[in-house]
Amino acid sequence: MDSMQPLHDAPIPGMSLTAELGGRPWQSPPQYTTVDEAIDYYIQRMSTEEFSQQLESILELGIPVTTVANTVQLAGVMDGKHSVDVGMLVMPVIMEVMMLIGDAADVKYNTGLDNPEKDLTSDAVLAKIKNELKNKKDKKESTNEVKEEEVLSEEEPKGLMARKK
Amino acid sequence: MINNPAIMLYKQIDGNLGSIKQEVKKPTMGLLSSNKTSSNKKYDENQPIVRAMKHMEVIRNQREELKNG
Repeated sequence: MDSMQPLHDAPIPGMSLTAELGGRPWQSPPQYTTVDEAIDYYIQRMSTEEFSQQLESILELGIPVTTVANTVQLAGVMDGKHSVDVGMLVMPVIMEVMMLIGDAADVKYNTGLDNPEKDLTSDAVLAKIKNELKNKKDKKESTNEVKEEEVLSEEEPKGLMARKK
Repeated sequence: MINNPAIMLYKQIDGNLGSIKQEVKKPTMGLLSSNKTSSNKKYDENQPIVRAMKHMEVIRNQREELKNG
């Protein structure tokens, strides 16, 4: 039944053609064309205090390094910093730097390399969230019904012409 | 994510990391010493993947130093 439901957050066919050609950052030539330049860019960015703190908190949450590295390099592609090819080559280096930051901060992190399936959100967790949402919805509906009933029962005819019970 | 390329890429580079480590050769002197440079190297250092591996090796060494104290 779930598969029958439409995906509302998916892009509409042809949506990518709505912007002017070359208007998006990834449609123009990348800023860093070589692996060395891209690595320099990432290492400079990742060596800041702000980034380290954010990364530590993300790793502490149990989010795998592979996922974070992929997201970071994808953001680089979208910003027009480098091409997809360079991003792919740079990704293991980004992972290594992230693990170095994690080790330096003494954070127990999940590399995401041991068990790729671990990276997925388990069905049990999804079912639990779904149940919680359903319960909340049911509660909300029941309270609304009770309120409506109360309002209906409270409404008594008033005025001179009202019938007296 | 199943389609996260990071896992495959990392494992691929990690597996080949040992092979790019250059053998330390003792400098030999004399007329009969070999004067070969990089003609018989397995990897071309100008290749992007080798550049990435080199960077990774440096960071890996730092990590290991940190772990070992």
